[in-house]
Amino acid sequence: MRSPYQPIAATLEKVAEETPNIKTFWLRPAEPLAFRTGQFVELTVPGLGEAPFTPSSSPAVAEQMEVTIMKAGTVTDRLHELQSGAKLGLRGPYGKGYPMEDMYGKELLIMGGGVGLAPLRSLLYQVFEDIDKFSRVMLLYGAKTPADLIYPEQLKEWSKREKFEVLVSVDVGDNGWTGNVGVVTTLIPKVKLNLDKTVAVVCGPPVMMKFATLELIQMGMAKDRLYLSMEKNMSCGVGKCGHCRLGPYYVCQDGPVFTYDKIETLAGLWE
Amino acid sequence: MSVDQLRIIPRKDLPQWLDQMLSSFTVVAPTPQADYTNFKVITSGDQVDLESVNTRMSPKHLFFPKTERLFGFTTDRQQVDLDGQREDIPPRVLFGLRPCDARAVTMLDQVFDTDIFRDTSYVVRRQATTIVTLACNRLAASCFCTRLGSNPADTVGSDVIIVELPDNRLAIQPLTSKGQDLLKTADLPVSATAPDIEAFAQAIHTAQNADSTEPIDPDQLARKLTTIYESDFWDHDHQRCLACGTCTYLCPTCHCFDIADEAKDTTGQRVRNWDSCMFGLFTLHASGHNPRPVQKHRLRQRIMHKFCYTIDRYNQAFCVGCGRCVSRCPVNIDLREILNQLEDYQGG
Repeated sequence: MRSPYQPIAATLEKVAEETPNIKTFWLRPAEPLAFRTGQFVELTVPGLGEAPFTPSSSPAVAEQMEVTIMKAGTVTDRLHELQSGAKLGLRGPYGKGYPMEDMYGKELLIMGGGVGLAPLRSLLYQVFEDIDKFSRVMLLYGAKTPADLIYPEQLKEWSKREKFEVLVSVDVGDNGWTGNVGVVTTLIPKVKLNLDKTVAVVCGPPVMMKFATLELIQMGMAKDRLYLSMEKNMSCGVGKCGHCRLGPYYVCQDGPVFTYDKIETLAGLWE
Repeated sequence: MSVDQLRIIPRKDLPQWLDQMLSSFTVVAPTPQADYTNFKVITSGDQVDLESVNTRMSPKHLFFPKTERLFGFTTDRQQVDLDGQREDIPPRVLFGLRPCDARAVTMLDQVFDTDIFRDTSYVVRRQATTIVTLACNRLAASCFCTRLGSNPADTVGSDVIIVELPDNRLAIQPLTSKGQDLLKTADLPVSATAPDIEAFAQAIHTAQNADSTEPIDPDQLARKLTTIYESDFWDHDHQRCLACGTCTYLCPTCHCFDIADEAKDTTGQRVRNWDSCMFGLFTLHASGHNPRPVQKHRLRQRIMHKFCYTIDRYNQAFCVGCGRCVSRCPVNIDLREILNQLEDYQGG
């Protein structure tokens, strides 16, 4: 019997800086690690521990995985110091991910805040694969300042894609910024939403998810077509350790992606 | 319960029987420790103390250790070597559990012995263990198993149940094939006469009806808890809670844990340690955000988890009424009182 807590070895192949406190890490697991978009992995830094991340790369590729990570704690602080060649560990994938089949035939509204665009990029790669099945894709992305935007070159490239609309906003602009200024929800009125045939996917910090959700619901968005990525302190990833409790759910197993109708009545949802 | 396998021994012969067991098994049993008892590996049958109703620590650490090495690693030579070496668990008998603790093991089974992500170290320990339970013929002051729908002769989770007969004899009944194997290996022939079987049935009946306290209605309690989550019900007990975690560590069903690395230079190990929802760090995000910032939220979580979420998920309250959290809480927070108050609470 193999322990569910035992990672496989993974080699760090490349590191790229996205913003002053966010980097993307290219990992090669010792054996292919297939995942569905929206599922997460536990990434080990030997000696420091492990932490959960959702890959930002295409789920079509199992041999190599990209993970975009903000410096936030002991594991991520060390990760940010590592160079290519470093030996790490991976286990997973865990959780349910995005149910693509339920999104087919719809207009897709994707809203990201800060480093929350990272898991959504994996979803976008999946959408590119399935683009025939979507009539329209809208990406609304916000960050604190222009320097905090991740994947800026890709954002430009995606905006040129057929069926794609990409709108970007920053909370505070700088001298060179000519785009929208304001929280990401200020971009909602700038796209013409056909709510009866739209699926929305939101990923970002808790406060951003809260206000995006409330605004979309107020506009008439169906609760069972609004997908949220819930964030909790996690440890085991396999529904046992008790950390990521969200009402009756374990976020690691029952989520991390939930439709709003499943969680809206949970007390302390946005805490 | 079929009684055709019933064995009877004089109580004074128990140490010899345990000695016989020791030739084939590791035996873990309650042994005296100052003024209390705890489960320890015994080397002789006369070390067992069955007088106190409950051991201080529950036996859960025998399946789910307080701290446990998951694997070791070395990080030198630009390589990480993982070793998954495990402790070898020889066949063992867990002797003298009380029915509440045996029942609690079946709850841990539901968490750890799952179809997917099976917790191998738990399962290895569990499979190696035969549980021999001693029915209670008296209740401790803090006992409340009947409130949780159980009783002092409950057989859930046991491979063998032992009942004390009034004439200083022990009636020993196997309940599972594991239990039957143990009685065969430890050479205890079937010996009960018809009057013995009658005495055994009577003793079980007496124990099962020793306490007529009305059980909680778990479904009703779970529904009520979801409606009073934001109410003033939670405004009081937390004020004296020290967040020491004693209740969760002594609880035979609490199973929260944390996974951490211990390393020095290039070698280290990944360990799994008991954790507690009573601690502020338990839910702290790396960002500094904490969804349960104050003790009120954490005490509420403990009650919600045991009496609401586990009913949703496993169809039973994760409390067996062993009373350890009641008797050892340094500030006398009494779960029995909380349950009474919950049943009576009319606000919302």
